[in-house]
Amino acid sequence: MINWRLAIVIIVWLVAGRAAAHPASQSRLYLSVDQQQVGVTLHLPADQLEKALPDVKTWQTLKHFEREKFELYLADHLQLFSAGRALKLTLGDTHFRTLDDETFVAAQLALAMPPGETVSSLTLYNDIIQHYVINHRTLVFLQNDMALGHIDAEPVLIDILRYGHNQIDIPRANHGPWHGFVRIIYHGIHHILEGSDHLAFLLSLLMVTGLRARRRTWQSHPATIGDAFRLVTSFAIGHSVTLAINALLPMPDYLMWVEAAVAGSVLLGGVNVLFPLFAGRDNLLAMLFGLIHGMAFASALSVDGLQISSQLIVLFGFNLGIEIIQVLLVLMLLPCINLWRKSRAFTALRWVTGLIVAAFGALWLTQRIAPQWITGEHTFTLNAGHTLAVIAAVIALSTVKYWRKKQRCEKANERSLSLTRMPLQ
Amino acid sequence: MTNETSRTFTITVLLRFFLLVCALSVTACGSSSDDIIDETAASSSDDSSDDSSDDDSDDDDSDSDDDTSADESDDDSSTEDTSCEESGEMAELVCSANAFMDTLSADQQAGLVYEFTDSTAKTTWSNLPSVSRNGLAMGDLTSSQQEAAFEVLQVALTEQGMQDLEGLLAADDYLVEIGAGSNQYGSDHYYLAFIGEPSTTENWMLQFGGHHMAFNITYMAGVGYPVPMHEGAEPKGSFEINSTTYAPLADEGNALVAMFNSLTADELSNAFLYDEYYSDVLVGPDNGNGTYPSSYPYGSNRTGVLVSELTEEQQAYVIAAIETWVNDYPANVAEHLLADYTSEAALEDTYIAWAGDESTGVDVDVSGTYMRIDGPRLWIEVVCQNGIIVRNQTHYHTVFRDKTYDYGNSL
Repeated sequence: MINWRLAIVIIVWLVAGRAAAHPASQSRLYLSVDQQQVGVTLHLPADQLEKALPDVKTWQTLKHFEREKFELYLADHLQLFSAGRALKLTLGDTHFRTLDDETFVAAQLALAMPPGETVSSLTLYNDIIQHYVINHRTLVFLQNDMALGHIDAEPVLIDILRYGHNQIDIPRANHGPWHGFVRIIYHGIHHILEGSDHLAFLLSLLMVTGLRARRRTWQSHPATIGDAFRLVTSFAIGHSVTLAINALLPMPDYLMWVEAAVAGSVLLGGVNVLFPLFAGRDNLLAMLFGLIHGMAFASALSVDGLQISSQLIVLFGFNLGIEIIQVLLVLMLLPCINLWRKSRAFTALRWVTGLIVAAFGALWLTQRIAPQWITGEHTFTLNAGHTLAVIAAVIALSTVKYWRKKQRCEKANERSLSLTRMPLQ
Repeated sequence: MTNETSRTFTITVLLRFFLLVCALSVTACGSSSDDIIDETAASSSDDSSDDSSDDDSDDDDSDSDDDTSADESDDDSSTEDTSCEESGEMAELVCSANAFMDTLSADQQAGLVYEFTDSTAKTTWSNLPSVSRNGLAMGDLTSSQQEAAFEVLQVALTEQGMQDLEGLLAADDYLVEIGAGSNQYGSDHYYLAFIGEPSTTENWMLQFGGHHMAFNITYMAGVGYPVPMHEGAEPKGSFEINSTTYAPLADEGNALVAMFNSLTADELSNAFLYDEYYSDVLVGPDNGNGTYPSSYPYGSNRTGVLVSELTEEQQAYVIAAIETWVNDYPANVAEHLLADYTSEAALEDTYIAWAGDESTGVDVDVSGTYMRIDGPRLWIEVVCQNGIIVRNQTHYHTVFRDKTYDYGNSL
């Protein structure tokens, strides 16, 4: 799920940034545009800030911020206007933080509209540090925007504020009240279609759902809608729980291990298709692994700086997108799988599918635990378009098989009919 | 490590000897800049450059010691065969550029040359080590290719400019010697690129840069604009590496300090930028953004002391300071710029200003000391920052720009 190429770029950048450790670092300003307020996260390089605000040196030594003083300074140098109205600044969580071997002041602000009014157009004025340190620059990012449905984990760089360029309009568009929510659902849909590892795991569950194990092998028989429903619901409960926990609560950065665990679950799922490891307990398995997959889903979201009500809306919409695709997939694939299960080729098909899923699981696991072992930047995943193409191909093949079978049956019926008629003639 | 250092040393010594010989031969038989560059002369020099590069590669096959002696004898004996020196600054430069390209493989040539319309490539330069740069890394070239590359730079710069360049390369090697990572620092990590094909008549740009260095010389129909130009020096003071002592930006820094020292107390106070602090130059690297900078002060924000209001003697210090940058380049680059920057009209609109600690005065050993010359076109900034590797002294960041003719006004 994670964009490995991006990860590599970030790692290289971090390493390079550490060694280059430039004395004049830039500030970063992240905007989270909500309905009635705008959340702002600031990362201010401490050594630059203390030139403009000498008190910082004392605060750093005492490890204590004079909050009122700092809030006044920020209010003087950071202003947001919506349709001509100034938003009121409140300083939230503030602390010193080390990023790339450099000390930053990390401050969380909320800039609120007057009661009862909603955020429309936005103009940002900011000359924190720059009002005195003339060469200072601030990178302005859009972290998320409820009205635009922009909730991606990757913030988007809007502009760089600098000497003589301290005021910018934040690009916003009025698409109507539902636009944001629809975009959030779409984000969930897109995310699951791009997540080959999640889909592979789902496929491994579907292949064996409702099967019974006998003598250490699967006994073929069709799955019922009830089987599938229980299975997918278990998976959904699992991933919803961890998605919510990870998105809403501050969590340590363990993304690498989550990604590795997801790959591990795919490997186990694949092996389970070959040999019944978890026979009869597939619902429990789905729920447990759902917990892991939910943590990975959370990495695609950013709800930082949003009000709690908006955070819940984001979670609901994103999860809805994921469920829509999962339900559709089950509804489409289950009849296909059932169709093949009735044929003698199913054992072969089960083995091929199981081996492919297990092989990819092993590949992803290796890639995520020991990236140095796999050269190149290929992620071995499908994009959304290719995923849809593969699903369409499976359905097409199954349909062909269905028609052939039907034709054979009709012929056989005809033959038996003609045979029964023969003696009469 | 020591082997490598001694090898670099040998190469450096050989190179300098070779360059010295070249320089001597240029002054001996080079023609003045007023010569008309005609195309036949240029093309004939192209032909001969092929010969000379063949000679070079033959020499390299034998032994490096023989190499210098061969070159020496070449330069002594022939005035016609290696005639890069003969037909004017531009023809000479194009000839040496072509000679360099002839030493490269097809792949290397493709990596060296960019389209002249590529504004991203033109603006790709930085003060930082280990960022993506255009063209070929010196460390990836063979010694004969490196020699040919330095020959190009030798022609593109004056002795004063070459001293800067060699000093800054030595400074980075010095940083490696005292413990900076050789995967980022050191003279191997400097890149040469041509934006457009080298030509005496067409437009093209020569880029050479790395950590603390960006030479960007745009030639518009043979007239050169060496801007934007960035130089930085860590350590700022003199240092010794391979038994040679360097202080690459001492002349620039000292010239600016002398300029401010020539002011009266009142003038110095008028030139001080109150409520302004500079932790770096204001109009720094363009980082491949493809556009001209927009952050020059304008209107009433342009402050300091007007040069036209200074005495002739004081003005001479200002001009001397400007020359420490502009005279890094030969006549076809420097003459027209110097005339424009120091004309009476230009000096009437040229401010000198400084920032830092007013109580200590203009002291380059104090972090935050900042000096600048701000003309109608000319823009020179020098800032003193704390050292990154050599932490007990400040280091220089400088930038030289032309508000109208950065990149030859060709973006």
